[in-house]
Amino acid sequence: MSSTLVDHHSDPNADDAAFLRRFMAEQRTLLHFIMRYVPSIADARDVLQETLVTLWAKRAEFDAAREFLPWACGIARFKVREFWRKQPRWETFARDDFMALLDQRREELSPELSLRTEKLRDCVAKLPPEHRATLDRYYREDEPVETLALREGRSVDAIYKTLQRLRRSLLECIERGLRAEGTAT
Amino acid sequence: MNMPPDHEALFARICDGVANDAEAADFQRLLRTDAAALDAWLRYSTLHAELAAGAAFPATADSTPVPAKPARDFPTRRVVRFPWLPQAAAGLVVGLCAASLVWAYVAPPALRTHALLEEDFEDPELSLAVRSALETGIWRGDSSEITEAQDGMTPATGRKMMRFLRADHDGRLKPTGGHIATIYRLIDLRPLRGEFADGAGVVEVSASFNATEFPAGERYGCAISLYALDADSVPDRAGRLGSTLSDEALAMARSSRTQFDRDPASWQRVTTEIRLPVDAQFLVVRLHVSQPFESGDAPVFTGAYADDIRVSLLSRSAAPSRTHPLPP
Repeated sequence: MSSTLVDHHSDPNADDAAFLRRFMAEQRTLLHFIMRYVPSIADARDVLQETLVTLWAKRAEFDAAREFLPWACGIARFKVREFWRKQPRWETFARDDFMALLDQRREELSPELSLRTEKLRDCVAKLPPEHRATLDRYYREDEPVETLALREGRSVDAIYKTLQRLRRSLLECIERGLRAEGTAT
Repeated sequence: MNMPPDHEALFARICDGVANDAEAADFQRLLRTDAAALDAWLRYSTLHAELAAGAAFPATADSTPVPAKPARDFPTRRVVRFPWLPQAAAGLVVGLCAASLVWAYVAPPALRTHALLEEDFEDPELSLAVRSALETGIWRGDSSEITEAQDGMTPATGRKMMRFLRADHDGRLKPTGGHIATIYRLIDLRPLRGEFADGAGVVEVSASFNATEFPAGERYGCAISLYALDADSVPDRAGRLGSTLSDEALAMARSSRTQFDRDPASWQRVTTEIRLPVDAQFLVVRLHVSQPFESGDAPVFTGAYADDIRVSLLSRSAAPSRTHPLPP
């Protein structure tokens, strides 16, 4: 009686599935990382997509024993630079020293930013349902502002102002929370 | 942290991707030359990124709201597209999504929100009816009117708002001392009963109230009451309104009474919520403004307004988000 050894790791479909699982598990984090340098959501999502294209093309090079996120962030960072180089009016962002400045200051503020992130969750939960819905549609459902304006029967400009007001309201809520804990900036 | 308003406006335009060339240049110069502005930007952009990444939305508030108009009327775009993936890999993506793996932007939420009513009084065909038998689709109650800006009062949203006139209806006064002017709205919950059959359905209601300046000796307040009813308990005539709603409701909730401030420039937001009994079939939303008994006999409300009324059903569901038709 003979036996057959099956090397599951050589199954390309299984490898592809595993790779996509890892990407999908980390794409929020990757988007967040990209938005450190590319603040416009639409632009950041374009960079995320470009990152995924490259990750997919290089998936055979990925060593499953290594951590996925640092490898993916390295490629995302490269894609960010590539994106800025194509945008002449953002020449400052395209410079390595500016990215380093952002990174350095972010690192210094890291404890405070972490606290703020914790507070933000509470503050979003406290928003009236209709305001939460607007944020949800804009940020998570990726609904264009034009669509939001149509849906709410308001002008595009009014929607932008609403988004600005909601972000301000969240910032103020975070500040109140930090002050209550004696950790306000 | 006090961010100059012009910085905040600039940051907002950068985040929303609508900054022009001059603003882009200003922004970059600002971050290079102003340390405080750089810190403010890092705080602002972190908040923005957290919202975009979805992690800031707490699980209990995780919702994909149902719009007042069907979503199919509007163009939408999805976050990450895979036009470049080989067909087999694209199939994998679909399969992985179906397996409920983490899919940050299209993941089914734990809680869904259904917009039951979004009233801003802008509909030109909308009218207010005096108190009578309740019916869906119409506001009824004491004497009131829909009006545009007047007497220094501007609507909370849009061009129109609702004004309470008197604590009476059809020319009939309430008993002395009953200085509460109300309007009611009946909402049919039956098309959505499946959404709260597990007993976890909650209706949230919020409305904005405001009042023109009033004499120092007077005080006015506002509140919202909610009544969950079965079909047999829906009042069929005006005289039964009060007694039925109070005595026969399956459940009732009322916001605390908010006293009007004396600033017509600021609308006061009042909210309340009610957990729906599983056998609830209708909901009555009651908005009321009041003056204290000691204020005299006149049941006149010369300057009390309501606007921007939102009624939402929050329900739990394991199913992926999808739109639902609104009840009539």
